[in-house]
Amino acid sequence: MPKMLLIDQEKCSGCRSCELACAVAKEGVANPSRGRITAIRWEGEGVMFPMVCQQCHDAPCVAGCPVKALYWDEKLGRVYLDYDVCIGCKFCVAICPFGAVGVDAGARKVYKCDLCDGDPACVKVCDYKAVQFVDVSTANMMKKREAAERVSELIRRYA
Amino acid sequence: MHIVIIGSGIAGDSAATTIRKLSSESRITIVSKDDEPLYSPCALPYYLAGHIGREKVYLKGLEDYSAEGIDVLFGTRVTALDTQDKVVLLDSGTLTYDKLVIATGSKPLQLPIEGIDQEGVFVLKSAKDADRILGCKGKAVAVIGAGPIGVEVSIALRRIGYRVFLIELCDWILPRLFDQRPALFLARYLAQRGIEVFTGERLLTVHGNGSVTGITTDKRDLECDLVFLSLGMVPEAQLAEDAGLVLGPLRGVDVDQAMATSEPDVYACGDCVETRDMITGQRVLSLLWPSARQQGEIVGHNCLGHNRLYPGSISMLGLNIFRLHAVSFGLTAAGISNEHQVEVVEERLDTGYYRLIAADGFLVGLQAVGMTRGIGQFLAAMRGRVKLGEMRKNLRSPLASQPLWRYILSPESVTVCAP
Repeated sequence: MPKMLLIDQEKCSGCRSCELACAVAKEGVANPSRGRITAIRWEGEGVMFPMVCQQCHDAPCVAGCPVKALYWDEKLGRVYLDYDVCIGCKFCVAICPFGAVGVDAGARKVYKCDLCDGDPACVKVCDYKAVQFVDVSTANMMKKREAAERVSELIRRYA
Repeated sequence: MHIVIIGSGIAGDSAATTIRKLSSESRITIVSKDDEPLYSPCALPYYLAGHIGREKVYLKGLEDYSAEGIDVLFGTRVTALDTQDKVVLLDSGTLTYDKLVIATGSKPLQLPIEGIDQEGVFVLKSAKDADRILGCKGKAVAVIGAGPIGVEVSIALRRIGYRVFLIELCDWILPRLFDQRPALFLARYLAQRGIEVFTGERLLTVHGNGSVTGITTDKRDLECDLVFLSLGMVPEAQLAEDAGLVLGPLRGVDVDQAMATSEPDVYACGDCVETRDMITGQRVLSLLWPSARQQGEIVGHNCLGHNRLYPGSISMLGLNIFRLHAVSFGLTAAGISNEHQVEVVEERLDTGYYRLIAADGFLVGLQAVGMTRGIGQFLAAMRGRVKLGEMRKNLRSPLASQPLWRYILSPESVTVCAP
């Protein structure tokens, strides 16, 4: 059964451990800015908010990719980026409403969360359980997706 | 149920794969005059520049079609359609259909320019066109038309060592995607990397004795051994017109929101149709990959009686300009008619240049050069018909995720200027 990243914004302390763990796991460098997950910090408002690929079922990046390098991976419940197909045009970077696709300028490639193939590194280091990787029944998953869609709808309306 | 699809590009292909996903029993036949599997024209400049191998242009192999249970008749011409008896006439037989999908795509616009029918004049639509250009081994090229294809090909040929003249009739490059200010910036960027850009200039003659030796514009003579024509694309709608289907004023196949044509059980999708712009509601030739793909999916659903409607087209395009990312969503300020009140918000940050365009208060366009991560929020806002003022008011919402955008939209950073 696929699992998904469940983010509880209320619990985030803004410590950036998730970013660091991600950068180490995916890039082998201890540089938080190179993680696929980003802890947004609005110091003034005291808001911390981990942003990561929402693994949208009907994703703008998938719809916009000119070579079908991005597609829905049913098994792991994720939007998968196939580097063998990607031509590096960066359109996914621009079109994602969540800013969840990044560019590695050095390696000249785009990157996004791939859920670490089912064992996400960010989850292991989050002491506050703001980022969790939860097993969900299909019904439950649909509910979560609905919530995610509501969030994206709100962003659409109020961003 | 037999569904016949004319055209093997992304529109026809996504119709076919959608139908197959929804129904394992339907018989699907793709007929195409090309003898090659699905490819991405968007990838061709990358192949031309040597960034990717030729194989990466193709998104399918011939074997993939049989694996999906899709019959293909490649290298086969459709000579006529009989929509009364539901028959497709081929150069090698006939096919009867229950539902017909016309996805014949587009072709490069040709203009009657003197000397254009000689060796060394090229267009770019297929991998074979790219092969022909690469086989040429010329030294200098005149690229006529600075739309996205002209600009990308200019960059690609510059990268492989050509001297490049980029000639544009309008006053600035990429006129349908960018307003003058960002376009001037991009033109300067091209010029710094060795592309000679001439705007407000008209091609008059191509010189040569059978093969190109130069061109004459209304302002100058240029020596070159290649001429690349990127004057625009036009719908390939002849077959549909001959069959009595109604075409629209822009010469694309006329379809309703279900992508149904004027004849029963005949649908059309992709570059050959004209649709409505999602923002203005006016007729438009979208000619974009994401539109074609989405329309194909909608046709696939509708062929099987699942009622889906196309919400309209929205312009969205990204360009890699010597590793600088330039993106345009929606309308340009210059492209909005006078009766609307236009507001432009411009910001130059250390991450890049950003321009938001509102018409009558609604966000209708975005142009970004530089870092483009997160700008998709604004495309979503355009689709949702959000007012710029509303976006500003709600900046405190934790959902406005990226600090950069809060900065752009904060009232003190807003510069309202004429388009």
